[in-house]
Amino acid sequence: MAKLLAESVSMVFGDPDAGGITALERISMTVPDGEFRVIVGPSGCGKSTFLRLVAGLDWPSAGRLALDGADIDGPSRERGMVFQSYTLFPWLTVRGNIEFGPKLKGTPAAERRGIVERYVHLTGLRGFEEAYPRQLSGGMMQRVAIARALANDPEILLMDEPFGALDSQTRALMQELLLEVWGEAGKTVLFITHDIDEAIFLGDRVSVMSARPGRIKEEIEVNLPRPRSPDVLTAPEFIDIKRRITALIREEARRAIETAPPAG
Amino acid sequence: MSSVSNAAGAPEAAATRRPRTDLLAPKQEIPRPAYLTASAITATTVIGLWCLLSYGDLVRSDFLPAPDVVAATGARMIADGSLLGHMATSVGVIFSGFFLASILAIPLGIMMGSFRLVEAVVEPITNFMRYLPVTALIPLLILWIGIGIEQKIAVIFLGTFFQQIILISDVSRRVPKDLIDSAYTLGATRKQAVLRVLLPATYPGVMDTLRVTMGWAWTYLVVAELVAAQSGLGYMILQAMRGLFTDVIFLGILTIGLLGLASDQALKALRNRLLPWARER
Ligand SMILES: Nc1ncnc2c1ncn2[C@@H]1O[C@H](COP(=O)(O)OP(=O)(O)OP(=O)(O)O)[C@@H](O)[C@H]1O
Ligand SMILES: [Mg+2]
Repeated sequence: MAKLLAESVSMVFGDPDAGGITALERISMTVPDGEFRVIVGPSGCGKSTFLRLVAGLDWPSAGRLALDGADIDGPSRERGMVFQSYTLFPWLTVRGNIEFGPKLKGTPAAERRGIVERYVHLTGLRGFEEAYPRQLSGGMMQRVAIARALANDPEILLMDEPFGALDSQTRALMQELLLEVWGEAGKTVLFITHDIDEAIFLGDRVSVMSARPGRIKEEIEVNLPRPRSPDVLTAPEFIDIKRRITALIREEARRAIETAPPAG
Repeated sequence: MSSVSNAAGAPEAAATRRPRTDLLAPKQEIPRPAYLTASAITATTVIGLWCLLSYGDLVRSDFLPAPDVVAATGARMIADGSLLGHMATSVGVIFSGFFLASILAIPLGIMMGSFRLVEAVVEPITNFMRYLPVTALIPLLILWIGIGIEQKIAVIFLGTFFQQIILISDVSRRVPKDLIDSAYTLGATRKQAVLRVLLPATYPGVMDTLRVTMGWAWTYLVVAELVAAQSGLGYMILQAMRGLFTDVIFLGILTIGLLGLASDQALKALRNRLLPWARER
């Protein structure tokens, strides 16, 4: 059954008749329950815009978005999000951040303790429960952000280039960790990146977006066995998929340059 | 010298040598003793210059009283209780005006920075008022609320309130929208997003604003006590001016400076105490 459904979703910023920016054009997408879906596309193609629409933080100009068959109308705890920027609450400890959602929900303290325990363990943050965000490294902060989103038990986890600001070693570790957490929590994930390796390593399926206005150019199935280890990066199937996606994206990048208005 | 360490034999691991502390590198911490020494030099220079000018008879004593004269005056006025009385009056005026301004400006400023509608309503007034010198309003204040203590408090209030609103609305405006959006995706209602995220996110900036404007409040003191005061440090200075009692003027200035410094340090300590997560180094 479709967990997330997008039907001809379009998004125009500003006045459509007077130089408005069409960020998304007729995006349609079906994400099955439990799938790890990755969206890749060139910078500025509307990836973040699409994720914000799914989160309910913005309204589409046209089209329909539904989770579990119910139309999306505004943000909700069903759709947890990890942002591109660091968004931990600096006045709360790691514990305070992780239990922010459960607390809003009115989860009793004893139960919250268990939840924090579980996700602190899952994301390898043991011993940092009482630390404030300013005492953490970038990678740790994003792990807390992931734990915070998961602790709220969302139906779908939306992730907007969560590892974009991390160095490549930390990034690789975080990817493995995320797959572990995903395997354990069994959530549907919608993950955005412009790193092709990351997309294939993580995803069950990769949606490739076109340059602005963003459309879905192609959906590519990733039939690599799980659990995946970094060895998979050199598997022939991996390289094959990478070649296809790279070609698609290069085509887009060229198109973007050629259709760009002349300078000056 | 180096041959000695060579002769020591054991191939000790060469500890990476820390570069000599460079006192003139921008944004670089310097050792605490160096910092304190530099500060002490400034303080002694100023006092030394004062001693030189007054004891060296380079400046007439009714222009520049000698340190021991000011100290003696201070001792006398502490002993007869008059200095403490003036201090109490002034501190009362400053704190009342500052407190009233703060409890109104904090919520209003936070709302103004984050709710466009509030901004639209408040901005025309604040943008006009912030450029008005408080002194220009004193005649009106006397006409409207008289010459009692209320008038003095009103001067402090007007001097700080509009500046606070502008600064705090800026603090509120700079709270990242992603922070609020995170709260929404975690299930927060609008009210919860405002009370549990927007509000705490402004605390450090609000505390900094209070510190800055508290300093400004002290600078309005003499203006506040210009008219029909019976007591207060500003009044004390103005009275002393008539009789050319420069030692009392100096004493007043020193007292205001020290009280200002004390209130600043108190607010700084309060900030670190209340907001350990945003502690300044
Ligand atoms: N609030 C907004 N107002 C106007 N235009 C916007 C707004 N948000 C995004 N856009 C425009 O929409 C387009 C898509 O932006 P978006 O942030 O979704 O891109 P992206 O694919 O996430 O890029 P990146 O990979 O760099 O994060 C861009 O051209 C951007 O300028
Ligand atoms: Mg983006």
